[in-house]
Amino acid sequence: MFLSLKKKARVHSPWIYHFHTGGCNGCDIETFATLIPRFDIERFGVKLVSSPRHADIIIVNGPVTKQFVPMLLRVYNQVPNPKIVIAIGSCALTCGVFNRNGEENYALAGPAEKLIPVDVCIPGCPPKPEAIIQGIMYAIQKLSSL
Amino acid sequence: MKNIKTLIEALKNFYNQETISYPIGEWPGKKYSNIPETLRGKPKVDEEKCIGCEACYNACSAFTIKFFEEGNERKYNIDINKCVFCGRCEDVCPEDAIKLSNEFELTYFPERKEEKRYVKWIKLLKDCKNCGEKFAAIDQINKIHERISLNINPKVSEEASKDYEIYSNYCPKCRKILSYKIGINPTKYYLRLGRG
Repeated sequence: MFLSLKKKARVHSPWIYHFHTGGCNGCDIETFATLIPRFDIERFGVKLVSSPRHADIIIVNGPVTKQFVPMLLRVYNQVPNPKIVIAIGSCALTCGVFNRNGEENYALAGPAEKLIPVDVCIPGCPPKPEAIIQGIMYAIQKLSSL
Repeated sequence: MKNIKTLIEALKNFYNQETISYPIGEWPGKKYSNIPETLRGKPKVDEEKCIGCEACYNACSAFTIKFFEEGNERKYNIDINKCVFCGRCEDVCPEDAIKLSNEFELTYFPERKEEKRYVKWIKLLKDCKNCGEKFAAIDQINKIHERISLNINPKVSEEASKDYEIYSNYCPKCRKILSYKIGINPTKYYLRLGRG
């Protein structure tokens, strides 16, 4: 009874912690565009939180720089289970334009996929706000199946 | 004054909806009418139109278009994860084979990577009669034949096409040897079009 209530709360109001690991802030701006009244993901109960300890979903964007690796792992471990990671943009998936023919930039540790398990991928450079909404829908689908 | 302005705006927005109703019906939404015409989405390729000239490979700004050769096939693939949707390949393609469609819903679960992530197509290669190396795609050689025939003097077009057929069976290295030995000089058939 109590567990089903918990699950219902998680599905109907997933809280998101947004995490930027370098790059050009393009995907960052698009994710904030989804929060404004025009695209309004708050109508699905989504809420940005300022601490990873409160979150159900982490959004990662940007290629992971070498300086940022310990912070990323720390934040990932602070999120309570069950957790879901969404990787937004081509940088979070394959390092995008910062990677040429598989040789990565000297300042990069690699894409987010290398360091933490990613559950939903949203390619695009940057993806449209609608595409990000679709990705969050996929994440909610996965949350409801957990 | 400010209050009046905000009041007018509020009254304007009283009857029309500001929020875009994106996931229509069952989410993720399938039909969505607010897509701009100039939107650059997932690249799509016509295999029949493509001639395998490698122009897109050379123009790609993010190094996503790649190919590798296996036997007499050249296998192209585009990694959508790495694509930047700049549209250079579309500008450069001489046959309009590659085009950026309006698809922007590219989200996928990593378990379904193989279906969703790559765009693939295959071109057949021609091998040299003399040394056996693969040097170009068959469609490209035929296309060059069509293009060149526009600039040929109509009096000698038959001879020229015969010569070109002999010529197109050899790779660039063997061609030089061939033209030296047999004395075929294809440039004598072309009109000078003010290109020096």
